[in-house]
Amino acid sequence: MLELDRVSKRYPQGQTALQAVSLELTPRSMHFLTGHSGAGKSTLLKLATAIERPSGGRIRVGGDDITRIPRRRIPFLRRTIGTVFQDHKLLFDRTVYENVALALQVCNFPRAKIHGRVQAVLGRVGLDGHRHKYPITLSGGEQQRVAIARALVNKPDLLLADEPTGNVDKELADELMDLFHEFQQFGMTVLVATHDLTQPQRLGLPQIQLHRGQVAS
Amino acid sequence: MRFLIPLRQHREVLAEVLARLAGSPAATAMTVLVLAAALALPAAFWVITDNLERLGQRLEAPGTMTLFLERDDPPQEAVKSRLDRQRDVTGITYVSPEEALEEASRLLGLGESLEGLPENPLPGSFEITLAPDRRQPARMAALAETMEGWPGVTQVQYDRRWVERFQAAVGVLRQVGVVVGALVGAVVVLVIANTIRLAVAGRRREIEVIKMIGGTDAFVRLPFLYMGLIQGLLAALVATGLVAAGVTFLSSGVAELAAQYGAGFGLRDPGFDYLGVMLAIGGGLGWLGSRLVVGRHLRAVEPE
Repeated sequence: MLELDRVSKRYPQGQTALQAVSLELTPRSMHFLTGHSGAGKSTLLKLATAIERPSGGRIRVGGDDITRIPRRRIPFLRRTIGTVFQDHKLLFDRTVYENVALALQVCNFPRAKIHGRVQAVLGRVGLDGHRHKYPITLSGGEQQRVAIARALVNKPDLLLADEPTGNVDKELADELMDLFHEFQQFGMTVLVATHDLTQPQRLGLPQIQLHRGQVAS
Repeated sequence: MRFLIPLRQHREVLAEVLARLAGSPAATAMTVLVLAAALALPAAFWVITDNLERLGQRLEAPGTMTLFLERDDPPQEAVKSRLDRQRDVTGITYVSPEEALEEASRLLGLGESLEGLPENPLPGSFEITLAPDRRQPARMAALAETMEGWPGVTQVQYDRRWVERFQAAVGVLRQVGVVVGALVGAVVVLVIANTIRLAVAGRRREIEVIKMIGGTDAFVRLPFLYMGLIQGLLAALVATGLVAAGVTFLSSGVAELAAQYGAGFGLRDPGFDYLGVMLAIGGGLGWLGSRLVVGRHLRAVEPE
């Protein structure tokens, strides 16, 4: 589902974020991407969503080579990938419902279809009663659930999360990770970047460890 | 095609943009008024030259024309009878070559000296007078052309210089209007571009999120293009209103002035086709201004 072949990323200023990283996520698998901050976790996720481009190597998403994907095709790549960030990137002038619906609007879904999908996904992440609230009135954990709902509503094949539990306490972190685990069991490929090493152990899931831009064995 | 934005999407974006503009009425009004004031300037030029041109068409040239005949054996009677049948012509005087020579001698102050010429170089001619209501430049030009086609007539002359000068002056004024229009067009594009640049900056986060969840550039761009378009249209509407108000304000004064000269002339309100042209120009400039900045700025906003 996601395949990196000796991918490296050097920034123009000279620092090397990733060096010859190879990995392969098979469909319907779930992995943790671990390592200290600055180890290259975020860079790897940015390369997978074409926010940044690799300096070397090849990247494939769902069988398509996206190493040198043309600009105009990037939106269609991103529609196949659900993304969750640590700071959740919600829009505070829109309700929970509108935040989630936006992900379908950009794909030109008809309104009636949007309604059903958003309802379903909000129920799925346990936010049924919060539809018409504004994100600012929600707790940190609830806000992150809205972001997860938005990442899921378009039914992506691949879900990428960058430190999704960075701002919540241990109990909420476990809940959120359980949610990701459920999605994997429903057939999604999941990659969660985290510095929290207890999660792979708790869920018994494989981890890919990055150390200074390289995969540690 | 998947790159095209469906009509339904256009409707939704349009509604959203209208709500957004209505949501900040002061800022919207400021922008629209600045643009309207700018657009009113060339629009006023247009209405003024339009009215002057109309005035020029109604101006009376001195109503006399001269038909010169061929020198040798002209069909004088045939031309005379044709002239008799012209309803525009009220007076006909024949000037023989001899009379013409006398007149020329008198005018040139040559006395008897021209009598020494072996033969009279001047042709005979008819001087005709036109009915006062038949002296419009276009009508006179058409009549002159007809008469020049008659057998025996070599040339038709009439004094229309001052009418032509007036029309030339209006033409210059129109060109000035075009230059002013071009400058104002640039101003409108720049004002819209700046407004849109600020709007893009203010919605940076939203653009970032939309790009992250797979919104195309076209999707991100659309609300900004509509914003430019609508502000341009509103400005054109207000500008047209301003000019119409100016015309109403001035028209009674102009009519009074014209009446003192014995002419029934009043300012004419710009018509509906004029409003259409103004809307097309305003909307087009708004869209263009927005399009110029939005692409460049959107490229700079990437998810992080």
